[in-house]
Amino acid sequence: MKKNNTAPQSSRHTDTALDESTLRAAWDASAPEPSAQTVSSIKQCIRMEAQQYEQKQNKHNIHIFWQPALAAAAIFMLVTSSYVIWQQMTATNALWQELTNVEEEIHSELDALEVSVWDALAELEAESPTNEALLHAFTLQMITWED
Amino acid sequence: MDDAEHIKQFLRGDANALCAVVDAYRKPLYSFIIQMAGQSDDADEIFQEVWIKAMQALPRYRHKDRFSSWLFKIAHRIIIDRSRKRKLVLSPDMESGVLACPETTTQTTPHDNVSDHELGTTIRRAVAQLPAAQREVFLLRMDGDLPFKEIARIQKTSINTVLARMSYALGKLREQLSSTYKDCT
Repeated sequence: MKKNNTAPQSSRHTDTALDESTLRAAWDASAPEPSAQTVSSIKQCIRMEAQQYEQKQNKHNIHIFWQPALAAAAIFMLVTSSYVIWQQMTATNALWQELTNVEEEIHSELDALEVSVWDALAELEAESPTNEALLHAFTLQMITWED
Repeated sequence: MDDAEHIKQFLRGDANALCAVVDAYRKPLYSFIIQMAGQSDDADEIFQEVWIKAMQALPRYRHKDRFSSWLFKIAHRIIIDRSRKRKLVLSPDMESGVLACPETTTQTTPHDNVSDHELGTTIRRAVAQLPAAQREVFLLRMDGDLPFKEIARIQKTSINTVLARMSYALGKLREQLSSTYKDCT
């Protein structure tokens, strides 16, 4: 800590026999010391304080260990739930598409059925004009039914 | 391992890391405190307070700053606060230097080189006579090993002012100690 070349700028002005190293040696030799009791009580305080720092450090270490684990668990749950939601949405879309297809199929079959009924009626009309009144009534009923 | 690394270790719960830093700064920080605040009992209290405050503030310590600057700044603030409470003029801004001269309570420690110790004690007595602002610059340089730029930040003044204070301090010390130097060498 202490260097031996730090004598104040006395050497520049020295006109006596006191040089830098003499001053430093004399200064260090006469340095007073605190009582052993004072130093000992300071060290005791330091030991008590160090225990608190040690506990804080341990808590910090525990946090360092658990925080990444908790973060990983949270990310895993987020990814899992997102995947489940995506799967459900895909299944719903597929079902909806299937229903739409069935509906279209029903419509086309109904259309085909309607055409064949009209064709049959026209044929009957052509073959037997006597049934004209009956056919007319049936046609009216069909139109009413269609509406 | 440098100070910054020790502090990082402490913040992870290693008490010994900061204890090593306390040991490393024990002498220079205490020397600064005792020269600035004076009485020995107060110095121990301040020394303790500095470390408690530093310990509490360590999580906010920015590692790009020099730890020594940061620590001595805390000591500087505590000494200023205490001097205000006691209505002593210790503020570095007070160029008049009216200040209760701290007792030079340098404890005698066994030392191989007695003349070094004696000279050191004499220098410390002379330093204690310096005006507070000049004394603080000298001590932050000698004890804290801080660059003048950092000292200017701590004293909230320009680097030129700090350099001038150092120059005045050295001039006064040289004047007071000139006879001692000759005796010692």
